Amino acid sequence: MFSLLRYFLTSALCVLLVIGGALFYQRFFSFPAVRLQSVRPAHVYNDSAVSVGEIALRLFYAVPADKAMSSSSWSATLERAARAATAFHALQFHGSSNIQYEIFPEPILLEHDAAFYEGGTSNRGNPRALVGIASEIDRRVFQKNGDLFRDSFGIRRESAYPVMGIVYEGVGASGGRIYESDLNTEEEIAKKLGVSPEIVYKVAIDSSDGFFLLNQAYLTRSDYEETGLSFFYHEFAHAIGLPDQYEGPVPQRDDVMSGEGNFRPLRMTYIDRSLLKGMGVID
Amino acid sequence: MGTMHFGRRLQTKIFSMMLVVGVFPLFAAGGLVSYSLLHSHRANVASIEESILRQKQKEIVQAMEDIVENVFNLVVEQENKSDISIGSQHFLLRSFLADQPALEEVSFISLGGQTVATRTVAFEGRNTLEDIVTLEGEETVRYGRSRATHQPVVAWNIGEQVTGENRVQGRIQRKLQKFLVASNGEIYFGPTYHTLEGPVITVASPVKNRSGDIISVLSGELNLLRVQQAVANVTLGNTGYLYLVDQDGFLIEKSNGRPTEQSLKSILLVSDVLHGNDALGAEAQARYVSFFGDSVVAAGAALPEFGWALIAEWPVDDADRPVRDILAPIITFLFFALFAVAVLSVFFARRILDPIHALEAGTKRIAEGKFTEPIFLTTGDEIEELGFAFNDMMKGLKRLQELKDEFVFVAAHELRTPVAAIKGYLSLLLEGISGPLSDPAKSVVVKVLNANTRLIRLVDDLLQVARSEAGRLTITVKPTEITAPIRETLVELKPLADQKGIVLAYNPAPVLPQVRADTDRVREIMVNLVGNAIKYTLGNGTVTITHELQEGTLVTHITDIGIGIAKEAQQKIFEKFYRVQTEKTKSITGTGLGLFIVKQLVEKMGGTIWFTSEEGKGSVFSFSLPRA
Repeated sequence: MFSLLRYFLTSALCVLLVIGGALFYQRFFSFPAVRLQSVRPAHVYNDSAVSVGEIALRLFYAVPADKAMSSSSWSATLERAARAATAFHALQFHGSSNIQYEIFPEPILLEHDAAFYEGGTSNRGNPRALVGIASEIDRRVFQKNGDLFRDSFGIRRESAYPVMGIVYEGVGASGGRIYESDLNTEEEIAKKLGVSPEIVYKVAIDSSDGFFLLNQAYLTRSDYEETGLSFFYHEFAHAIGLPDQYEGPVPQRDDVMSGEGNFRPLRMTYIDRSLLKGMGVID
Repeated sequence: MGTMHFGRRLQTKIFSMMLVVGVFPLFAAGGLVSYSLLHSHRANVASIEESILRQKQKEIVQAMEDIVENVFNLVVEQENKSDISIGSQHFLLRSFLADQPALEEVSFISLGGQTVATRTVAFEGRNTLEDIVTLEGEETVRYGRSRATHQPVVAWNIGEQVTGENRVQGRIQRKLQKFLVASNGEIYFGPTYHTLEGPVITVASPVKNRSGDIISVLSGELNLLRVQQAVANVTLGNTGYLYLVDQDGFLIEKSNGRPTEQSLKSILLVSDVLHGNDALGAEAQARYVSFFGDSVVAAGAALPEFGWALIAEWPVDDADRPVRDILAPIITFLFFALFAVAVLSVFFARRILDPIHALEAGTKRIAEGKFTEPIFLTTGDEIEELGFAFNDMMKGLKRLQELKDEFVFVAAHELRTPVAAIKGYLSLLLEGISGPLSDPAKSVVVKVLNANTRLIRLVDDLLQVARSEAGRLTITVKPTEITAPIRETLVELKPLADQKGIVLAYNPAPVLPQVRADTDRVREIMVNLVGNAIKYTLGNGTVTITHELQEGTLVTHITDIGIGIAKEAQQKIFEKFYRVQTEKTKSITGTGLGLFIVKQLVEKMGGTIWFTSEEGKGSVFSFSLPRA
């Protein structure tokens, strides 16, 4: 009996020593690893079903048939704009979305005169020109039988969100998403989306889910030196669903979606937190 | 006599005792010292981190207060409640930007309904001047910085923005939090946002006249260079670092090492501090493997007015180095002590146990009747004295043994003559020297003769044993044909075997090597072994004698199919006076000296004896003798 008690006490002492040692170690020498939430890919504004974690931006320089190229260094201009937009985008999205851009190596000499695309009015940033030119580029560059089709251009990962960017030798600054729709008229689509029919256009573009157009002057004229890149990004941002931040016709905030004539330089602007929340970048 | 085996308990006890007396107190003291040291060290680390965090927290707040004091505490030297004129707004904004490098942009926002300028409007063919009346929350003048010269430049001016019939409105900010807070008399600090030139925060404040009335709102965008400078280049120890995160956990600045673009808000400590809770002091500090890959001791100070968290992370390799430097030799010493105790306990146990083992061996020798080998202990202590006493005891026992042997020898010797005479007279009586005996008388005499015969055998055995132990046993070994004494024995014992219906089988090989033996002693051995085989075979059976040549010896096997020997009896079978006492053997007579004598005889002739036996199946006794 005594022997059993002695062994029990010895065992209990050993167990206590081991437990004590383990607690001591746990208290002083063990460190739980921080488990950061993995970066969630951002999605299109207010549409979590469409990821923009990776954006394939294909840039074009488009010149109407009745106009000449205003600059021979258009490629460098596009490169500068794309690089700045990529850096700004990466900073704002904190790793949740990145742009991979590619510039079409030749200028797109359009099939028609400027009047054909612009339709006599450039209100609302000339979206008609965007639709017309984008459709032509889609047909000529992305269709295999197009005269400008290049095997090596426009290759992207399946998961990447494709955006077509057009720097236009003409009037315009607009952008938007391209939705798949079974509806027939702009009115029906606008009603479904809850937006004005004036900003809905029917397009038949397969190569991109978003597109934008910007007058090349914003990137080349000296009076737009500080703000031209903000214009560029602003229109690009429409292609991923970001809306203008206006109250009526007047911009409200100071961020890149509140421009319209008094943009801040891209180096000093940002994307408002409410928009980033709408894209799942922050909670 | 039984033996008991206690394993190595005493050695274990000595080890345990040394452990309890020597090591446990050492470990307890070491543990206490280590615990106190670590506790104190944790407090020190926490104190250092708190001190640096508090200092940097103060510097950050001071940097922000400086600019608030110099810019956002604007009181205009006017009594009326009208807005500042456009000209004054230009002057003030330009001055702020010129004086405050932290300001990236600054603007006035009107409370609304104020005439701040006039514009020229063409009406019915002539130009007229028209007041520009602001809307609530409308931005009137905004200044930024030129990228090239970093000098103030007008970014927006309500007076100049005139196109056609309608003037262009400035940004309407009446719903923005900055306008709502500032127009309500409070200073507003907006969330931090990140530009390509660095992190920026929006600050807005009310503009007051001399009477304290709010007449406008001043809004500005502040770069955080001074805040970043306060955090940059701070080092805790050799590798510790500080970082400042914004309301979403994104880095504003990190003092050294690689930054990250990922939000750190999911770190519990960061999240707590962002909620406005300081994590300072030994209890609040946290230890974890940080996002940057280091095992760190972390603490944090909140800056709730700006929505920031200032975090200190100090890699434990660096932070705990001093205490590790102290603990390492302590722990090493403790384990060395444990090892030394283990080794020394074995040494000391041997020192104590060796003489005890010698005493144990001595007792075993005594138990075997060997009194000629004293033990030698040189411990120089009581155990050595015990050794002397033991040797004295051995001498006494030896003397007693000698006296006993002498007594047995003398007694047996003296008994032999009268019992031999009795045997002779009894034989004469049976032969009818005193006339024919009646059958009852004859029966009695036969019984007496048998008893006398057993007595003679006992006396002979005792004499034999006494001679053997006294060294008086005479054995004359010479090359001998072993078959002759065996055959003589079988002839002698045949009547006894026949009486029990037992067959004695002996068919030796025609040619056997001679052995070195004493013929009489071989006969004596065979009488004992074959006699036992006959005695202990109950009922019919066969006793077989065979030979086997082994290297240098001739082995003789005596095999029976008798009752066999129980396992517990087998170890004692060659002991003096030992007899197997079972239900089956109690009727068999014997002295218990036969096998003892046989063993003595075999060994004195240079041979060995052994047996195998299984209870109920029989036994095989074997002895070897050296070949001639």
